[in-house]
Amino acid sequence: MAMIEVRNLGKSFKDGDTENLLFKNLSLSVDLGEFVAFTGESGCGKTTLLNMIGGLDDPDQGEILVDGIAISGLNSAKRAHFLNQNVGFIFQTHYLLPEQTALANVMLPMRIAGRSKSDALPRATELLEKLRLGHRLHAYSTTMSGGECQRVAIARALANKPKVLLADEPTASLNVEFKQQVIEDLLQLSRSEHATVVMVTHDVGLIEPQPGNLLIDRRIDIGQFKVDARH
Amino acid sequence: MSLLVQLLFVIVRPIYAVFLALGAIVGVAASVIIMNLLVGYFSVASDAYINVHPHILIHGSWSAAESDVFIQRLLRTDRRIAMAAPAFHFNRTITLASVNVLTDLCDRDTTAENNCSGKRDIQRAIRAYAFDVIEQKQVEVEIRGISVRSDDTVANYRSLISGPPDFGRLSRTRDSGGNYLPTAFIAQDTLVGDIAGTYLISSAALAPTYDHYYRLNAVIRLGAKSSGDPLLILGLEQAKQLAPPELTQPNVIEVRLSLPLAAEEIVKQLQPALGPGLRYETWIDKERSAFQFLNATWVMVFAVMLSICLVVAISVYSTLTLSILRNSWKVALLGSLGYTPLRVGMVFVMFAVSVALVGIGGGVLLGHFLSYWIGGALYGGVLGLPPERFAASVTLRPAAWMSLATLAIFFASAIIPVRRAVTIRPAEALRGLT
Repeated sequence: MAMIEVRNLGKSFKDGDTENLLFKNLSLSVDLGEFVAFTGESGCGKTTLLNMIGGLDDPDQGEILVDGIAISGLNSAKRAHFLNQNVGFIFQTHYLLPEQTALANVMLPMRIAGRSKSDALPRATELLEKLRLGHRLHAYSTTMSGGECQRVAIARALANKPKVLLADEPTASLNVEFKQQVIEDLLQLSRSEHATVVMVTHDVGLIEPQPGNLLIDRRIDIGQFKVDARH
Repeated sequence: MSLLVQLLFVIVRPIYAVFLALGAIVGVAASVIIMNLLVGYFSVASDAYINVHPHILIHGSWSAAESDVFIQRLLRTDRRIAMAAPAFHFNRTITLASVNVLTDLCDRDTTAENNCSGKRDIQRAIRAYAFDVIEQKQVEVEIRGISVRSDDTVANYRSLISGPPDFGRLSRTRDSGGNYLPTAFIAQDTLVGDIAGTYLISSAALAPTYDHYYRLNAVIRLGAKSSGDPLLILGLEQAKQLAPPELTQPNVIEVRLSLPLAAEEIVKQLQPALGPGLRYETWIDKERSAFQFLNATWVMVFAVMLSICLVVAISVYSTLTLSILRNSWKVALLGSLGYTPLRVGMVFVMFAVSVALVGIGGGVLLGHFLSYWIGGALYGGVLGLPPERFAASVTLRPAAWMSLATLAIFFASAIIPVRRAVTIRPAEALRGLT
């Protein structure tokens, strides 16, 4: 059963007076529980596609269904609620709020969902401990390493037990020694949380360390959908 | 802590809130002070303009019997006429002196040869006065010889005099023991301001007898207001003594109205009713330029207040806009976590309203307190009015108006930045920092 369905998607962007068509009639699906990577050359639209799946951007044509719901048809309030309950985002930069502790950052999606601080605390603590950050609950992002910050971001993305986890090059800004660790954490935690994962990466070596040895379920080359023609 | 409050200081730095709040406190305080000063001064000034003159002056000439008949006719003409009485109004030069008063008890039969001292027969004793002149000056004054009816006067001098005046003294020349009393008079404060003695003597061509020495009985405080010559107010009979030879009977009928602002309208009714040959003058005629100045003052103050409001509005707008620009990624992140645009907007609105409330609370307290201090100093030192008159005019109404205005300004100034915040496109804002 498809958790994510993309149907005849079209998207263009303006470059001054010129409108560039990114892709046209893009269709794909991701099944429940799959861990899929979007790969492709730089500029082919991987992040744009990810953002549209996550409701942060809207397509020009076509539709995207997440768990059977057409996201672009939702108004801003319903979309925000849907994102909060069903979608977790991990960005290239951790985007932790520097004024808040690691624990507070992880609790944020749950607080937004209306849960009290005492209600959200156990879940946040559990996630951070699974990610080996039990000793850093009250640390601020400015005192944590890049790898630690990205793990906190992973915990935050999983706070509300989302059905879909979207990761946009989560290891791009990390040092080499942290990259593989973060991917393994992501794999392990997403499976234990039963989340469907779509990850954008241009570092194929992270997900396929040896040819034929894919750590994840599938990879989709988004570059194949890129339209070269300019309007 | 509520999530809204928690996010408030994530998106807007606390130091911005502090500076903005301080600015709001100063702005509100300044506005409250200005409003209190202006309202107080306007109230005191108009009070002076209305009360220092009879509301209507009818110029003519009447004997005592004629004036009684005329006044009865006048009172029947319009119910808004509350009181009317004859008076002398004229200008002349007098000599004003500050003196030390020397008194002694003398025998009633004291003569030039008979030394006053030594005689202490209390049954025959009278008080004798001698005046040691310290300072004197010649000054042009407006003399009003007024009628006193039941210890009241047509013009409301009582409201302009410090302390309880005894208007009866204007006509008394003997005390309860039958001894001579110097004639009492009331003067405008600018007339006697630089003469600090107890007795002020009118020289002129008066016989040097006791009942022609004048004693200052009360002072009318008009402060910096000046319209023509300073006032010297005497009883009707005393003024007759000082009047020009051709002025042998009262030359005006003073009229008090229950509605002073209706003076011009009432004059129009009186003219046909009382017949020709009379000249009418209102307090508005006398103080027209002063009122125009007061109205101009309102305009100037309004301009100052508007400037304060603009500065506050620009501060709020720029602070919020800067916060949003610096923290657009945080706003976008909150959007990606499911925080609705409406709730994002609420964060900024709450910030603006919170700072406004702090500004109002602190500003009103500070402004109200400082109003008394500044107003008292201004009234006493600059305007020459009793500080307690300003204190009596201070109300909470200016503070209430400034509170509403501040809330409105903060709210209005936050609209554009809030709109900007709620329309941030998460995909673009989050991409910007990658």
